[in-house]
Amino acid sequence: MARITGGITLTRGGLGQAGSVIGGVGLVSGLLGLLWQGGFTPAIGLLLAAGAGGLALWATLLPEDARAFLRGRQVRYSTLSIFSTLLLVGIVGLTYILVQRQVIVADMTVDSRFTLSPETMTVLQTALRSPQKIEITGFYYAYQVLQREIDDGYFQLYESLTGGHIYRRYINPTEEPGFSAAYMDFIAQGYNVFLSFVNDDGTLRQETTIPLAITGRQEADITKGLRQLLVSGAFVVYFDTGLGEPDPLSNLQQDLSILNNYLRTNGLVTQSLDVAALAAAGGSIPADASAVMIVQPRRDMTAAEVAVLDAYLRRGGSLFIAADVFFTEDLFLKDGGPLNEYLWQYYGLRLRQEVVVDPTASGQTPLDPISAAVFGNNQIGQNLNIAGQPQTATQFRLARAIELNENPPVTNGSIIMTSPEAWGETDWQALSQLNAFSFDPAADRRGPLTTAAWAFDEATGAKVVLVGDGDFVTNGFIISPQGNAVLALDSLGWMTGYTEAVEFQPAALLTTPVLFVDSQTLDLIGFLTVILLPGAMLALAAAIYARRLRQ
Amino acid sequence: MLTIWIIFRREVAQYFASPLAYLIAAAFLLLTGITFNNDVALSITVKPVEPALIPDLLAEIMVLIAPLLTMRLLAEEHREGTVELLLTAPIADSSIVIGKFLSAWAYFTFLLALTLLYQFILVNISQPDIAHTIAAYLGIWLYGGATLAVGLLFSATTENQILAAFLSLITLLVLYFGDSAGQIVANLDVAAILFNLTLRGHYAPSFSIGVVRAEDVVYYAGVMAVALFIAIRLLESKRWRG
Repeated sequence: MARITGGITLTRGGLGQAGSVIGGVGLVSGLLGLLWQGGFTPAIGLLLAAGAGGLALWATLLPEDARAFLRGRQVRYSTLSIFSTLLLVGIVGLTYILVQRQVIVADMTVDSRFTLSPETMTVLQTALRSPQKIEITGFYYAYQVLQREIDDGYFQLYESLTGGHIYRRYINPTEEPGFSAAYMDFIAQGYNVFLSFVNDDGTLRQETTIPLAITGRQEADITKGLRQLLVSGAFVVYFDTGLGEPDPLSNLQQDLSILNNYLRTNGLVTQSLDVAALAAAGGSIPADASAVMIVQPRRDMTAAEVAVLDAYLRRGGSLFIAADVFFTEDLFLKDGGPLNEYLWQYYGLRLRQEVVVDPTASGQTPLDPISAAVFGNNQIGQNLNIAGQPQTATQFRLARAIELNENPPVTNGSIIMTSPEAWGETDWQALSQLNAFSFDPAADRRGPLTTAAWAFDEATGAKVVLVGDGDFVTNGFIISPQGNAVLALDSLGWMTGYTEAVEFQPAALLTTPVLFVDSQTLDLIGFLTVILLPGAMLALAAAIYARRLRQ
Repeated sequence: MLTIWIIFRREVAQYFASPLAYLIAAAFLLLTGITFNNDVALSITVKPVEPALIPDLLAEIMVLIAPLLTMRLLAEEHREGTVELLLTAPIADSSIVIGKFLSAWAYFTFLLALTLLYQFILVNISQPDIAHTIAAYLGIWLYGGATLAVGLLFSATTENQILAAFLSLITLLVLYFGDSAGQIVANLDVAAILFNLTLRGHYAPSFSIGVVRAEDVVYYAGVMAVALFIAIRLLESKRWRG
């Protein structure tokens, strides 16, 4: 017997029992951990080692007790209690883990918001046909454990319904800063979940990674992301660079890297293209081109170059043109120019040599027209000029007016128009040299004027979007106002077919209606619940107390 | 089963014959009533009523209520020496513990049932998400059972009711603050394990939002089973400790 200060007595039996507790707890925790993790980890090793050490201590200090326990003979009550309790804890833990793996869930919300819709199930079937596994990588700090648990409820459904073909993995950026570094820009912007295809060696195909912002509509967020991932690489957008257009890779204010990154982030492939070089070499636009973008070209196209575009459009291609005002002789889409004539003849659209002046719907000057009217009959316009959201309007800088043929050879229409007070300024000399503009009834057309338009050839499938401004897609203006980015992305979405491919419409939330109660009813409810019901309980308490007193 | 029923009946009768039980019920209903009225007043023309309002409130205050309801169950028997009579009677230790636990749970169920009046009112003035409410009530009923089992366990450890209440309060507070685990530990996996060990960890991300997960039911049933098993062992130890 060893005595230590403070009056605590350590006995051989006490130490032996402590060993049995440590041993039992360590072994049960280690085994449950092994089952939970599905593999061996250092922490599990530590628990199992502690368990073995504790049991060894017990067997050494209380050998008779251990022998009796192993032979099933009578042992100390406390030892038996400890081991039987641990056995029960182990059984409960095991049952918990097994049941959890079965993912037995009853969604009792009125709109079944925690159940995957048939649309998602179809997407999962498509995902299962993909030869590569898909990883859902969630970045959560330890303090976000509640949010992780809620999101995990969804991720678990995707994992179990695909038999692990889609699987989840969680990263704490604090613990794995090296791995997280590549994702930190997105995480800072609220994108903390990523979907990626996985190589055979288990590494992620980072070029396919789709960032997701989980908004509280988890199913819509994840399924839309899955669709983006599944179509990634299927859509290729070519930026023409042969006419002096801005560099899609440069992040200078006048260039196009933001648009380029938007497209790549959404799973589209972007490439550069030189139509002029193709025309010179007798080549053609690549067969995989989902769309060709011509943004702010500095000169007009030649007939040979137009022929290259024509061949592409005839096989169902899509052309996005954002032309600007340049006070040069060889203006792109000039009156009578080869491309302007071609677009007029085959698509019923042409750019006019008119600068839009809008005194009522414009930004800092009347030369910065804001979208005064938007046509929602094409999907491009549906997300512009949303009521109560002024940032969804577009704003151009020195825009040109578009003319639509009243008897077009194909289906076409306006996307954006100016206010009726606007006019198309034709005196470019005064404008460029004196910055002067005024309405000339003899020469200038009165508004409303079209500044963005579309055309669709049902026979060939060709699509054309023509915008009378090129600044709006450049780095300096694409983000603000937000409508500029919406116009560019929704145009590309419509032209490439990307929007239909990734669109996921979650089931409408059948939320319970807003409460309407008159003040009299409210008073009655207050009386019932705050006075009558607690008062009745108080009266009962008083009655029982009085009866006891009488007895 | 018969002995469990006898103990249960005796304990339930004690609850309902005591003015204290009705005082607790009055205080409980006053608190839930004010909360309910507040939510109704805030919801008018703004939003639908919160389906899990009362269960969510109870998830927070059960930490305080459970020790009050259970502190006397076994500690009083120890203090007054009546436990000797019980132990010498032809009743299994498990029957005593289970009977007493079921009586406390029945009283909690009675309190919970009184709050169904709020749902009855809501059904008459709006269209609440009833199934969501049922899920939340089921969750808080199981959650309450687990907290009562923990309270009973500590009532079995001592003859001092205040100490029993204090010990169960501390334990339940530790279990309650489980979702704050992430602020204490930096490791996400450890935080998740700690979170999954807590009572709230199996209520907030599931029952409260209208989802019933089988593992959460297993968790609460497991907590009750383990706590009651230990309480039985502790009562049993009276026999050989003397």
